[in-house]
Amino acid sequence: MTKPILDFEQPIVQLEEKIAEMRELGKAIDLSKEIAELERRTDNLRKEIYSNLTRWQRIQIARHPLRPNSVDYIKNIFTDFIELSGDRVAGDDTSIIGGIAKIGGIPVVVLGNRKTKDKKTNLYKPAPIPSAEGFRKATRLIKIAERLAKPVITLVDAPYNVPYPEIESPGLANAISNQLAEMTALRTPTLSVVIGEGASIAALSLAIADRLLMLENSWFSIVSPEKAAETLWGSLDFKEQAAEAMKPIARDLLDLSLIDDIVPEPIGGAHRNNKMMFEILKKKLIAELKDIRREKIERLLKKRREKYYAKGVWRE
Amino acid sequence: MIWFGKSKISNEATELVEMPDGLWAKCPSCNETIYKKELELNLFTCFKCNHHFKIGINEYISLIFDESSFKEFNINLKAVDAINFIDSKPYIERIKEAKNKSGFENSVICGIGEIFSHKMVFGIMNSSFLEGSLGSLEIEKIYRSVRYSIDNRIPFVLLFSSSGNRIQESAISLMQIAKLTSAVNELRSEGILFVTILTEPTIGETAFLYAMQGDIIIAEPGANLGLSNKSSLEQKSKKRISDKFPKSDYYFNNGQIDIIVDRKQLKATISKIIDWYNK
Ligand SMILES: [Zn+2]
Repeated sequence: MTKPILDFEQPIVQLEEKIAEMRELGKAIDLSKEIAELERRTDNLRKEIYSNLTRWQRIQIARHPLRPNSVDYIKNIFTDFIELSGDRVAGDDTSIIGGIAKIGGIPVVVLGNRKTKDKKTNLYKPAPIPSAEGFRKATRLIKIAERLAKPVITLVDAPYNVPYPEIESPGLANAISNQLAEMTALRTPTLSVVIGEGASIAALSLAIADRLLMLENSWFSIVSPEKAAETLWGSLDFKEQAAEAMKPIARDLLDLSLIDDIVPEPIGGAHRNNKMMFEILKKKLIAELKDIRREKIERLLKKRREKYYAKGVWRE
Repeated sequence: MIWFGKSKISNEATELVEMPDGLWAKCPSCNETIYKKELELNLFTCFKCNHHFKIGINEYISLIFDESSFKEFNINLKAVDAINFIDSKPYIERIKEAKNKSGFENSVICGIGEIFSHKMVFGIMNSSFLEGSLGSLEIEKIYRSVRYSIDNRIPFVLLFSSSGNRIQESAISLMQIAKLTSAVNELRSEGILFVTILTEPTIGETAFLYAMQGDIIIAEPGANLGLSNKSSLEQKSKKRISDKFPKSDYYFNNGQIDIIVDRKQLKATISKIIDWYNK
């Protein structure tokens, strides 16, 4: 399997391969000076490239097939996970993964969008938009959390993918609507983190929370840049311009006070160092969780409502 | 009886295929030639096939409310571009164009009025203003109306006509869904009636999701409804798919809508519901 490499990562990956090669050679002759020099150059190049990423490039990182996904996070930063299934009405939609788990010893209900693996390439594909069954399962699980007084953590990774009328089941909108309503009024602390893509209602339905965090290279908006390019520019060719104009990256949302905090990623993005990413996110989630659990539920609900009431811009 | 007062109907009844003499029009659904004055008296529904022509904000207000009882809220709210959004034109430029084209300041009008002497807080969308998409200004107007409803314990009715997302407000417009959902939750927990009326078109994620939050959901016959945007689907598949697109009866038959109401019965139906609630 060849690793998928983004075009702007290419020079760095080449240098890294060269260093690995020289290390191999270095077993026979002393190349430590040359290796140190190459490492210095690589470091500088990394800093140069990754501190000047365009929004479109960050979106490519957010969509990277090797980027840790919800299942990876559940495996690596939670313990004692038991997956719960089914909406108790019609079926089980596996595009939503959810269950009971612990993080830092704290029992929680955890939910997320689940990507599927492409059988040919063995790489992850974006998660599909959940069906009514998926949204109902999400609602069922957060209601369990509410009843049993456990906090909810959601891992958002939803690409833009609107259902076609042929497959839009009549109960889909109602299921989403209920999920949105429950998230806004859920009587238990809620914590959300956008780990990759955060498009439209599929993302929002898991992202209404007391604290909403975004990973540094993740994005969140009403539609994808591709969809915006098609709708407003009239062509997919303008997707990079659309990505710039939409300001959908974590930094943009924090500047607009639309999210509560950014979770930094390892240099080059989460996919360059999964282990470090798990450590960073675990620490952050535990700290935030401890913080929101201290609040009285009535106060938390009032704050949650008022947070959303204050969003938006107008003049009068 | 003059139904529509001084409003300019012809601007807003966009589907009207006028005959050269300007007095007659053709029904796009059954092709019947109809005398325009007669169409107006029939509240812009076809005598022959009951096709509901699209009508605008002024027409709905005068057909729903008791004469001159409607008072608009928050007329001084103005849109702001928080992210300096520019596609082929700046967002603010597009708003100006929409104003000039539609004669309205934005895509939502909210206010209070009386319907057979029952008080009702009302919001109505205008699909001729940027497709009736809902930006944060529009949601703030609706939000304030919900607050008014709660504070004064008056039912809230929201009439939909929207077919797009306000992409120009990017993540801000996505967050508005959480804002309005929170407000509707408060309305519910305070025991205030919330009725939604779905007219042609109520499509796209934002509009259709709000529409589904009503205690009682009413639709006009033949209205295009759903989460998916028809025009973008047509663009994608390069063919007309409007026949396949789910309409009011599809959602009614599948249990998603309470009543399909003829426009001529709309006022009577709303007032009955409000009368029931107030008793
Ligand atoms: Zn007709």
